[in-house]
Amino acid sequence: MAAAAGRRWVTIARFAVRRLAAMVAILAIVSFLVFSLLALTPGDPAVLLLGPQKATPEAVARIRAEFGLDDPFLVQYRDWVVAALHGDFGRSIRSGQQVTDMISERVGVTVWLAGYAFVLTVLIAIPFGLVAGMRKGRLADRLATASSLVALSAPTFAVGFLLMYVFAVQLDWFPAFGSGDGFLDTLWHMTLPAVTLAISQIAIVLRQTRAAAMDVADRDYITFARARAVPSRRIWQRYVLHNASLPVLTSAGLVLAYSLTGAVLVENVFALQGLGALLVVSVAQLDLPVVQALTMFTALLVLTTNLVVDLLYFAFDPRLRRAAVAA
Amino acid sequence: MGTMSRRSAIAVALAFTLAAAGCGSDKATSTSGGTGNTAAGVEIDKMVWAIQSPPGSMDIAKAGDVPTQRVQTAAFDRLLTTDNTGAVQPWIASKFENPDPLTWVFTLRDDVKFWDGTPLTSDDVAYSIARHTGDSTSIQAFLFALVTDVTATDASTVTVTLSAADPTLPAKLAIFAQIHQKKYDEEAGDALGGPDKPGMGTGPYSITSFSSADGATLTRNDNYWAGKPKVKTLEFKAIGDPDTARLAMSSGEIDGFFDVPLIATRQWDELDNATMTYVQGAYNDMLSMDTTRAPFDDVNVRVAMAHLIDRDGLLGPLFNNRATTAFTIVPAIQFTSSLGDAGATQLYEGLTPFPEFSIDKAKEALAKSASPDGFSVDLAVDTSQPWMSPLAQNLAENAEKVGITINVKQVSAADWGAGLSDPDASPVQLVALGAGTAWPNELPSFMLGTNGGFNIAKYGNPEIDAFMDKANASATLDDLMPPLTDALQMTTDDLPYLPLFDEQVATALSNKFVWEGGYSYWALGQAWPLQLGGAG
Repeated sequence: MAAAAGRRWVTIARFAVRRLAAMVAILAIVSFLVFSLLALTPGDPAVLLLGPQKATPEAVARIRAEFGLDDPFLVQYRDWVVAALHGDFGRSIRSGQQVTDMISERVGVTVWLAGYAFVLTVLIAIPFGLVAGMRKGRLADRLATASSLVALSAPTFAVGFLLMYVFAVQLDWFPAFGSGDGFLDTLWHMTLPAVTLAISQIAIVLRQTRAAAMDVADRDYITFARARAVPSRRIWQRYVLHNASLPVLTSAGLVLAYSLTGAVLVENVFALQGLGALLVVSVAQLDLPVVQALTMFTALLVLTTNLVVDLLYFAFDPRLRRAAVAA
Repeated sequence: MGTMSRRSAIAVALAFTLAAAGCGSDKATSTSGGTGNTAAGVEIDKMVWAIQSPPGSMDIAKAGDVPTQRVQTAAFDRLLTTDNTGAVQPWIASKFENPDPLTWVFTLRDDVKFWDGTPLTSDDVAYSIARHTGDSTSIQAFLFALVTDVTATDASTVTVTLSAADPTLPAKLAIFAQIHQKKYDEEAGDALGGPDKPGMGTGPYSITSFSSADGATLTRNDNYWAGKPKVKTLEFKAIGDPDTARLAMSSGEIDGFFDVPLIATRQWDELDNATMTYVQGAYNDMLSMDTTRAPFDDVNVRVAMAHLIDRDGLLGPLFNNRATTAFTIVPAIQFTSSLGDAGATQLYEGLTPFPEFSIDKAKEALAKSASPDGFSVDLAVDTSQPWMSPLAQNLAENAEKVGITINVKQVSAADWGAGLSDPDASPVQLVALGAGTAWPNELPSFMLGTNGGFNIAKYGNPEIDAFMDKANASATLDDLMPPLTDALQMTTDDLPYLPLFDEQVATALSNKFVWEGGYSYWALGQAWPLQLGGAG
């Protein structure tokens, strides 16, 4: 047994290393693609910075020289890669600020929002999804299915403004905008945005969980366990939850990765200065260093989330661990 | 100045780009009057302003869009100030003189100190202007391109030398030449204007914290030379969506919002804890047609286009009637403040009236043109400026009736701005320009004539060039008005630009506060927080 467990870990570690290598390759490809796409985008960042009237040829030339925009494409890309490998992502063309500083100023808001919404999603979607799936066609199921349909169809910005109007303006329980300082204040500020973001996510994960639970509910082992009078808590925890976990984990991971890349609409409605808001401004201004660094960063976040989800598969599903050893 | 909340940085940059002197013929020399604190109202702890995008940098050499400048101008003094009529007045300089057209001499006050207590020197002032001149990478360098030398002549005098006369210099200094401490800037290096080294100034507020993500917190300068402001802490928070700002205003989380979108003012008017102020802005919207490219090289086509625009009918749907139809490409406020209401009316009455809205007359004009059967053309609309898309759709609908196909293209603010200076872009463009001062030649100087630097319609011929050369060389209103009037007369006949609307500027202020003298379009040229106080 001990040897088998050891081999299992070696296999999983090998899997992780292979995935990490793939991540590096994907990041390299993404960086080149983004760099190329930005180079192909019409418009000159120097002109955008100055505004058309102020953009005299001399002024444009000075700014282009300052940011190395006149170098050949491959030279620019090489310089960027070399600097990036040293942790230097350059300065923003719009503000002159270090790009890494700009991202670190904003990453907190995005992680908070994504994390808070994720916790709400998991706490609400999984239990209700399981119940709906196990009690297919009954009142609980019909309620959960109907409300998730409504939640999926409601546009994010409309939900956001509705919540803001009710809970910030009429009831005055929560602030209408901003991100707050310190843990409790941030929690208070982030509640409405997180609920707004979570509403559509809950719908997605709930439906996935329901489908997975329905699949499990019909299995012979559940019927058999019930016949054996296994306590129902044990049936729920050991049998249903465990066996439904893979699709749930997959959808939850996707949802988290999505909101970590910046929930642009929610950030806009609640005036949160997160990564999504920064990306929108930077793309509009062709602020190349910022867009480039942000893309890298969000690609890294998404890839890492996926890797963690994949590794969790092993933790949740013994069949995969055994398959890994056998392979 | 951005009148549209969603106006992007680019539109806003366009808007305040060129500043011209607000001083009339007799104002080249002024001396300081009383400069005491004018704020009414009572002391109050905190005021929160929402701005439409986070401030980019506290250094105006790096970022100068309007939301950023709102914060910068609360912290950094300028040499001169603009009053509520747009005229330039003394400020840090107690006196400014123009002994000859190429020389400006500024005499400095002796009681001005930086936030750290060190006195302001003439070296600091000379440095603060010179940093935007010559080979500087300052994004304001274009404004000061005529400046050849800035010298601290003695401890209280700074002399600016020009390569050509520039009557607009004082107004540009009042808005853009923010006074910095030279030593601080040199030590800060590249970090200047960022969160760690925001800058060292002499203004009514010092910068307590600034972040390009969260906005800024300013603290009152208790030793301010013009008297301490009434509001102790001034906070700026970025709220991009005006609907969010309205709800935040309604719940009392913000106390003020600049540049409320005119289309949304009806909802803002209903706020019971805030008051809306509407003032005339120096904003002019127009349609530009490239006079060198077919089919718009034919004046009959341009006249037909003018007949197709229902300017009066669109004022309500586009602006809640918070705008008026424009007479010329010069923002109306520039004429009313420099010539007076009667003078402006007299000028307008002398000009050819704008072609009336009439499909039949459009057909007639088109029939006389080289493209009697119509043509097809693209028209880009900036989705961040709410008036553009409905106007273009309305125009396209009318144009279809005479055989002209207008393909309306929704584009980003950046692409719209880029299209204005792109020779390969569509020959028809919607343009929104704003002025920084009351000098009526501010926009014509670069929009008309072969030498115009931003002549989108490429409108130049020997006759208009001669008028514009004279207008551009004028240093006084008396010299300016005859050639400018001729140039505008030619423009209303030839219609390279169809003047559309003069927009108002809407500002929301919480009822807990008062703005002494009222919000003015020229606030960016002022130490504006001095006018704020608690309603008490």
